[in-house]
Amino acid sequence: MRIKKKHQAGAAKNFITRTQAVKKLQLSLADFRRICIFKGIYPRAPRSAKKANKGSTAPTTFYYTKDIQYLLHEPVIQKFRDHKIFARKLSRALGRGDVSDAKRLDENRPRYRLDLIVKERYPTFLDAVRDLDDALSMLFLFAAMPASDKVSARVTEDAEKLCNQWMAYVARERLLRKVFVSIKGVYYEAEVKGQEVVWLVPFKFPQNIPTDIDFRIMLTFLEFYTTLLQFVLYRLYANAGIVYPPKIDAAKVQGVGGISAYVMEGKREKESLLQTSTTKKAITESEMASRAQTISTVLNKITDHAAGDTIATLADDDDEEEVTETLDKFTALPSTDTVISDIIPQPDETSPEEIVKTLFSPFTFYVGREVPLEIVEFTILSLGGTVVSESVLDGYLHVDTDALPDAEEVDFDARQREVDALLKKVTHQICDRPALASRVPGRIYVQPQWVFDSLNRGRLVPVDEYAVGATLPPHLSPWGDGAGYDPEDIGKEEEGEESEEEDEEVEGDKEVEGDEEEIEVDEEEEDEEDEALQHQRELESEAKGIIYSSTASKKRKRADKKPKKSAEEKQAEEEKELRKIMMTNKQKKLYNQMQYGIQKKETRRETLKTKRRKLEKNKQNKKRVL
Amino acid sequence: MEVDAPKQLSQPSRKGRKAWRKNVDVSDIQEGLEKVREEKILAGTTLNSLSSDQLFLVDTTASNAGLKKVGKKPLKVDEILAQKSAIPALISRKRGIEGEAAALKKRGKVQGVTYKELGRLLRVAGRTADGKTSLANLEADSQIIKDIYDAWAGSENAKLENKVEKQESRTKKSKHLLANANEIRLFETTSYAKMQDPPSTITRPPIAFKESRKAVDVPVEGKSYNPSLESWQELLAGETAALEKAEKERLRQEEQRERIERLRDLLDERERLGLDEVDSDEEGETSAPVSTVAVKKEDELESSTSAPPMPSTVPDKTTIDLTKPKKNVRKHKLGKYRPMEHPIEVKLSDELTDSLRLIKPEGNLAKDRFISFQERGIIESRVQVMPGRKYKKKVTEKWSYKDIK
Repeated sequence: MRIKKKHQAGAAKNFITRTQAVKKLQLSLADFRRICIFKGIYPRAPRSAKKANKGSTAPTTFYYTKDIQYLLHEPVIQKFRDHKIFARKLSRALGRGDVSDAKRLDENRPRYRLDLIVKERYPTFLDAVRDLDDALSMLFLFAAMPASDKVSARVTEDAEKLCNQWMAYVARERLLRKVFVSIKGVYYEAEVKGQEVVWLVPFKFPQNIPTDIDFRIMLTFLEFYTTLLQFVLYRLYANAGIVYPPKIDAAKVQGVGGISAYVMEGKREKESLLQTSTTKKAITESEMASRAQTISTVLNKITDHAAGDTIATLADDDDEEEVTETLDKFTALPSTDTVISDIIPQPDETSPEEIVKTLFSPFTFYVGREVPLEIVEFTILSLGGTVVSESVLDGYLHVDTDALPDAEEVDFDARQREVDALLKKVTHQICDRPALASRVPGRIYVQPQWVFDSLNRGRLVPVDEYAVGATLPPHLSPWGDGAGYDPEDIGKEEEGEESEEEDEEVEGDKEVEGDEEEIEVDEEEEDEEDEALQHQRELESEAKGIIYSSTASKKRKRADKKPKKSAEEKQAEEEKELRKIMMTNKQKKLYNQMQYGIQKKETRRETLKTKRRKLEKNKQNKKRVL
Repeated sequence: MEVDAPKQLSQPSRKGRKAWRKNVDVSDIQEGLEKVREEKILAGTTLNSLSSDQLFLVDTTASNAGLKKVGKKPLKVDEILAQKSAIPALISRKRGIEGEAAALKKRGKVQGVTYKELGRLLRVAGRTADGKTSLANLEADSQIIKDIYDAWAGSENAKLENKVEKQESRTKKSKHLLANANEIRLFETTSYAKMQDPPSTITRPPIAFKESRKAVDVPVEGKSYNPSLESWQELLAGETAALEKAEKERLRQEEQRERIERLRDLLDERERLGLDEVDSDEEGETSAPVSTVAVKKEDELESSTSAPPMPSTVPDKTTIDLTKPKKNVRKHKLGKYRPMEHPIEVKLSDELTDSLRLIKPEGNLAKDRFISFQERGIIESRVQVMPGRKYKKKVTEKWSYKDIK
């Protein structure tokens, strides 16, 4: 038998240290890091670092030898090496003072593309969509960054462009499912091609650029994700039948920027895709503007006229004379001062997702200038609503005529009329002030949280809780908290339980339990009806000679249920105990840990439930008193 | 202008040696000429030649001195440089005016390359102090792909076909390895076998430090901008507990360090005392080995907590779900360091606001992303090492102390 040499097989062969890998690939450490990020090669942990590192126990980073072997043939690595040569030539030219030579060299420098790597890492389109979380979070982060010595303005511009393209797509296709405004930023969840995509968008505040993170690494990720997102967007746009790099409305970019500036143009019919029932007015300035079918009608109008500025006061929409063609969109407006619930589409018929898609479609929202437009606009558009922004209208009406490039006559009266007509359509005003000086009759005033909560609940939540100046109900996470408590579910659950119990006693009982959001006007009447019915039954049974007591029967039932459950539980518990005996110590520990977590969750759920019940009871009692 | 009192000329007569032409006092004329020159520099012409409405102005408007804008005070150097002569500079006869204009246009360029561009080239070449070559390239090239295409056009089918094809070719290869001329060439020119497929190792998930491998962890409810009281209290309690634990750990470490220091001093003391007993010849040989062993022993005996201090970490409890068993979660460091710690993200009761208008964001998302990459094991954890000073600072007394008497 041959004598086996040490460190010739096993872990020593399977793993390679970082230094060895860098030497093998003939790259600098920085380039090695970059290629690892591009190709998705991660540091590994051998079971025994000592065995993998030929007897040394010094802390090192390991990689799979096979991974590194695979990198040897990577064309991008060759480009890195070419770049190194180029940098040397450039340095020499600059050292000699041949600046024009250096410039020429730079123009012909080796450039690499990452499209093949994207294809290789994501063999199918769905793989790519699944990995969008990272890409989107990264791009949105950089889009909000100030340009500095670490991040150039071009990088942030590109990132912002792609982010807006993404948002325009999600809004157009109505894919947004959840939104959560947290203290860190805004979390969004969209359903794209059946995949849940979650991303985090920072607030539009100047960010601190931390000093303790490596921006070379961050920018490498950004480079890769930029490429990935572009290919994904191309495909998504193609599938939706939109021309991919969507045109940008220069006028709007100057005005508000954001997704409103993106012209979503159909491949065949050049008509509005975002606004299904918009007919355009023939006052086009340029060809592009004429074809422009943009996200919101208001903004649409503004494009046609080139950008502007003004103050649209809340109160001055009384005196408008003509309504232009564009603005004739909703013929059936909700009657202004009546209760809103009348015009709420009842969500029982179709699937919940479909409801969410058209939740806001009958409404036009007037967004005050104190409200962060980018969050609210994106959410409203994704739910099919129309947005009129105060700041945009300001810009439209108060054009600085001196600043206009060509001596273009601005018909302010016509503009004012248009804006007035537009303001007439507004059904909701989103307002984030403690109090309002004046109110326009016919508008519903809500705080921005109403929009988010409506999306998260999948229906229109009652506006009275979100009125201007009111203390808002807590903004709950749409993903539920750690304990999995969902107020909606509990409402339903209780309803179910209750009905089970009461079915036998009172048939056709239509008591609405729980849900505080669905308190209807006629609930009181119903309650009264219930009581009357029960009372009658009792009377009837008494007449028959049977002592009828609903409470007694309930109690009996509950008493019946309990021992039954406990018997089952007992059996289960015994089984568990038996199994526990068979467990190893390690497994037991793990099991106990699990049980602890479950218990904690359960108790939290219970406390929340009881609290809820108490609240409900109080509410009902109050109603009865009233 | 002030006018001096009339006085006698300093040159009363022009008789004698002092009356020679070279000795004539022309300082008054010189002064006048100098004054005219200054006027020309300021106004372009002499003040005499200007009409009175050019020189004077009737101020009919109210003084707005009180409304003066508080601007940035210009630098002294700028003020001095701004005092340009009103007389245009001389034009070289060679270039003429056109040439002069062209030269002005060209200014700020080196061989037709702007200074800005030159700066970038220098950075690409690594000829700057920071040497950020990759960033310089990113700056130059837009990341927006012009000729974009559908990367996954028919990918589902193509992938399958590819696989089948490859398998077929492999079986062929094993049967008649040298039959195909192309393959012969391939095997001849390369010293290694060319890798066909990515290895299976490449698809293995990275080694993560947390259970959730999601790119974006959904936050706990307490992190809502308008949280419910319970969820906020829970978050606060969690963060406080984590902080307390970290603080306790820090104190423990400090104590340990102090204890070791104390022991060392004690030993030194003992050594010094022992030194008196031992002969001066043996001193050097015996004391050194005894000391190290003694320290170690002392340490072991005295402390039950002699294990190397753990790095203090604040685990982000908020994102860890206790209910699931922890699978494939790395506890120990990977490489040299552990991932960075998340900063505490919680609003105190006085900072909480239920208005979107008043919200002040918490935490830093750039850092958050970076830590997330480290926690998911996508990049290795590193610690920024700032170059320290090479030599210890030596304190000496100045020799000038001798001067004091």
